[in-house]
Amino acid sequence: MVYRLRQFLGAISTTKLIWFIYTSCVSAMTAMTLLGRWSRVFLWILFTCEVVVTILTFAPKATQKIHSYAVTLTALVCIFSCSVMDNEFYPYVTALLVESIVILAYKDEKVMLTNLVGSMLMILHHIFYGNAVIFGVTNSVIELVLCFAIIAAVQIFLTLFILTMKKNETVMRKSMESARRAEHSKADFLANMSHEIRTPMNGILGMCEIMLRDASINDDAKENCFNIRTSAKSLLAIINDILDFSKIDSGKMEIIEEPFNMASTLNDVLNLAMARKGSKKIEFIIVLDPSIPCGIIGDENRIRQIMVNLLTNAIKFTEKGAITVTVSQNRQDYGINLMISVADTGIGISQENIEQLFTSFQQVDTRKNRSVEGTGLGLAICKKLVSSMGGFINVKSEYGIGSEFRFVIPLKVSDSKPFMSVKESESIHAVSLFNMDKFNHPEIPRRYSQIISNIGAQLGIDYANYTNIDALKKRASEKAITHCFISADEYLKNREYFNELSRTVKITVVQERTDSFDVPASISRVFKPFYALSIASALNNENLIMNLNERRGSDIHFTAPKARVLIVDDNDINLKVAWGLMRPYNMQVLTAESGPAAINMLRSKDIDLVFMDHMMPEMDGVEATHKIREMEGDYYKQLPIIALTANAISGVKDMFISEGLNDFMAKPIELTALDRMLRNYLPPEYIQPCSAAVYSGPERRKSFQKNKDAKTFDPESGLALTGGDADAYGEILRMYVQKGKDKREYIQKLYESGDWKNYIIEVHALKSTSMTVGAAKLSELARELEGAGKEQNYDLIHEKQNTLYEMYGSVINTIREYVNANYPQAGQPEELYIPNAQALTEITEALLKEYISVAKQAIEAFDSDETDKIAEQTKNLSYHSKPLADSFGRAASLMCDFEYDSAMEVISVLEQQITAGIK
Amino acid sequence: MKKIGITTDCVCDLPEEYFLLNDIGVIYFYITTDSGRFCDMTEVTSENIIDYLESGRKVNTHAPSVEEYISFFDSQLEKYEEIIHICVSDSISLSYRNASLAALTLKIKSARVTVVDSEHLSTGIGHLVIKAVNMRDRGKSAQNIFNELESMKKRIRTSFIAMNADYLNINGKVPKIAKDLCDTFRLHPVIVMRNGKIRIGRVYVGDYWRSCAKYVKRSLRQHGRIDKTRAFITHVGCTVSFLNKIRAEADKHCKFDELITTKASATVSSNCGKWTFGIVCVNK
Repeated sequence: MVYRLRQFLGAISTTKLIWFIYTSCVSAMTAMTLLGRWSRVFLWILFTCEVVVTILTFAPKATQKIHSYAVTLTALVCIFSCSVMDNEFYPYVTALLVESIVILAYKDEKVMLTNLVGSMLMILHHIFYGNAVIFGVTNSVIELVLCFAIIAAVQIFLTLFILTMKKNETVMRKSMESARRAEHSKADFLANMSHEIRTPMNGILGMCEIMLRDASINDDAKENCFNIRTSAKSLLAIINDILDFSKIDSGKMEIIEEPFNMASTLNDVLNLAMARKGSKKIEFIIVLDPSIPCGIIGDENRIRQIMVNLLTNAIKFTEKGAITVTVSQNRQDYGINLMISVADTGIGISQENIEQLFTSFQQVDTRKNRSVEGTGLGLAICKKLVSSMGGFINVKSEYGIGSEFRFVIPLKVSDSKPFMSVKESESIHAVSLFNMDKFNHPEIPRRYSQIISNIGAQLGIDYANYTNIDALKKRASEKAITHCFISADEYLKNREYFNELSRTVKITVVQERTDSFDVPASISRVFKPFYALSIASALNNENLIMNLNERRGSDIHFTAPKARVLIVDDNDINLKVAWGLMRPYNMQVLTAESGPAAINMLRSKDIDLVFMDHMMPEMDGVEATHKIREMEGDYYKQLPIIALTANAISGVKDMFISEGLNDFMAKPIELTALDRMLRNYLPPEYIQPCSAAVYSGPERRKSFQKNKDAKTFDPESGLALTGGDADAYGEILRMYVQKGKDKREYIQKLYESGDWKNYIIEVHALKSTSMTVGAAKLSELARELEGAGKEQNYDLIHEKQNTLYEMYGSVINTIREYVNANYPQAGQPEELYIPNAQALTEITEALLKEYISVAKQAIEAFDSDETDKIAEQTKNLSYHSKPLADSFGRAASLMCDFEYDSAMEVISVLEQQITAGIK
Repeated sequence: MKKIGITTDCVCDLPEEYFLLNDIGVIYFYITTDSGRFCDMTEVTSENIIDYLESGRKVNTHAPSVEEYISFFDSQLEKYEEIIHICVSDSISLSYRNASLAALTLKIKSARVTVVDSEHLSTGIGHLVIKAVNMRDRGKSAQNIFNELESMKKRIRTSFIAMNADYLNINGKVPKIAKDLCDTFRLHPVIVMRNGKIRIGRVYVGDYWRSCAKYVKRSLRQHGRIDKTRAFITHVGCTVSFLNKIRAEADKHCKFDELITTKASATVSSNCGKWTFGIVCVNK
């Protein structure tokens, strides 16, 4: 009963509540009228007042203001009438006071003042027309004055109270407005800062990526470049953390759910973790549930971000021992619950500190952890991210022993096939040789043993681990082995045995990234961490695990040589970066520095995909997109346009889509995002899958003729020494040939002038460059002469310099032939880079045919000067947006090398393209 | 194969290490949120649920299904000849019913599974589990263990003091008016288990710490009757400093050989709320 009454009272409005009280009072007055046998007129007054107030209470259009005045005035009338009927004043003072308190509920000072005036009038009536006061009787006068004062004081107080309340409300409203504006400004500030910070970061990271893929830089420079990239990524990570936290805090974090493969995510995360581990003696142990579906739907970036955060913390707070990453799942009706835990043997966390662990900006135990870098945002962000994905994160820890962070996220499944399986598992008999005694922490052997004991069952293969070489040898002699995994230590201790065994068994050495020792070609290597996925990859003969050079670059899984992509950005570094990142896809990449330039280029209607920067002067990306969409023809309506922006604040994607763009990609360009965009928006028929180990396009090398002496020039070893990138190797060879002529003459000149100091320097350089390209014999001779020079054995130099000179010339010719045979003119990467498409002038077909005709005549006449002239004339010209420098410049270059046939071929190809309709 | 296996529901709130050390099989309850279904203790913890509920969202808790119990008992029967499974009180969960049905199904295959209705929750069940384990280790038969547990459960005192009645109201244990009264007058209800049912016992008024001290004192007032071998302080979201104060307060009134602090499971936590704790002990 009480519960229901309370529910009822809580639900009714102010006007209805006051009407209820009013009605009760009117009822009481009616009773008084009837009992007191007062005039029936008063009944009519009461009735009329009640009707008016009731109508105003329940009428939909009656405002609270009208109601307040109606109630106040009719209440005064009723009280006044009552007092007149009763011929009394003082008992009705209480009624006036109660009435004042009731109308306080309206919070209107004007109503209160009206009430005050009404009350005063009533008092005056009773003074002059009633018997409220007997003048001459002091007590009576005092009573009246007191009454007057009390009524006035109460009502004035209530009026002031209402005014104060209103003032406070105004102040609060202004504060809220101010807070809202500040929030808005913060969002704008973050948006602008995001752009201003990310733009130069994009340049730094992109340039590093390009340099890392450039085979012409040496390993030391590559290492430095890698370190720059790592530091830049760390800085970007901190900036992203701050921006992410603000996004999450303001409820604007977007979770983008797309299908992804956990194996790929794990690989990325572990590569990053291994880089961050540095020189710490920490073992990474990975425990995987192989039945995790290969296609799960979720926000891969955020999941990766959380894992990286947790791993980074684990690495920071662990000096030795192990970090165990466990990835498992629980099947549910909606998909799976993906569970990931990161356990370490670090310093642990006390129970008191666990309570504040996920609080922002706090690193626990700050005094002790002062040397540990970190903003303290990481775990707070992790918690919010997990929560926004519908999951949970928790921690278990023991101080001094270690910690385990675990998070679980519900995910849908797009492909239920297991993400890890071995082909033809029944035919595999695998063994491993890992000795656990060397580890510095007792936890490591225990965890490794657990993994190893499960691997066979998980992968469905025959698998056994041995802890000493004798046991392995015994096994090898008793039963066939197909695969053998060994630690680097064991390999180095028993090198001869394993080299021999590798003839019949596929041997994989598991090594640290810092280990450097040679293995024969029959033995493969894999970096730690060594876990079920790396075993499965090795057993499937897949190169999912990157080698030293590859991990510093990136994986490309497809090419699109027919695709034409336009990048629009007013910043030439950004253009270069974007071009460089797209280069490995073998697409034709065009660039434009402004919206109008892009629109001009699109008139040819042969662009398949546009990456449009947002913030550009004169015409920004959105405006350019509007203009493109307004152009006539379905082509412009359907052309995929992807926004490129350093502004990664939430909501921008929706904004771009609403403005007519198809999607959005944040700068710095993330390679996985680029990969995804290209896959999603290029015509499917343009996409050609390729091996992940190869950067560039399909194999173009012809096999080298067998009757040549491989020691003179062995492209196989040269390619291996330059990281396996065929394109990059081609460029190195070209450079070797181009510079070789001058170098050869220079060495000869130094010899003839007896400038031994510089002679030694030059043959030293020749020694290493020749080894790099695969000219082992020349390298060996150069080494010999270098040594002779250092020992001042000039007789040997006199004896062998001529041989060097001849051999050098022979190698240059051999390599030139090889380059011409294996790296034809079409598809040369650097020629696809058009720094400023706006500067090119489009010419007609007739004029182009004229140039072609002149060029052909010049080639037939062996006139390289003429071909140079034509190249100079055509360098700023284009035909159907295709720069003519590609063809005429190339032909001129070939002429300089006396490659007349090749030069003619280049011009002929161009002529055929015109005939076929150039695209 | 070992003779008798002791298994229980995860809501017994014993420390995880105890399960591992004594080879106790545990079957987990489920918490359903608006985004998924999570396993108590392994996927979601008490802190997770408290945070979730404090953000204004609701959860549902579920006992394992009959099929899940069958699967669980099957896996345990690979190690043991017979099982004694101790469930949370039948009046507050379907687990006893589901477990009994599962046991009946397995009986057809001549499997021996005995299901015990603890008539308690949280570490009230924990006391029974520890007793069962001790008796098993001493070589007692399943029937003896069962009889002792049936007798012991009447002597267990399970009670908790909650800071407010918010979570009890959310889960339908008390009406809204009771919750409003608690909020208005700063009332702190004590939840007790009587004859297998949840009842509101005393209600303390005023400052929460003072109320807790009074609750501890009252819980341990007849310490002559209490079995001092072991007692539990089971809590939901209490800080370490708060728990230390509770321990000190408990020590003032009754010295136990073992006074173990444990965290409540997510299932129990979702029904009580943060800052809830209970002194769970056994009468002689």
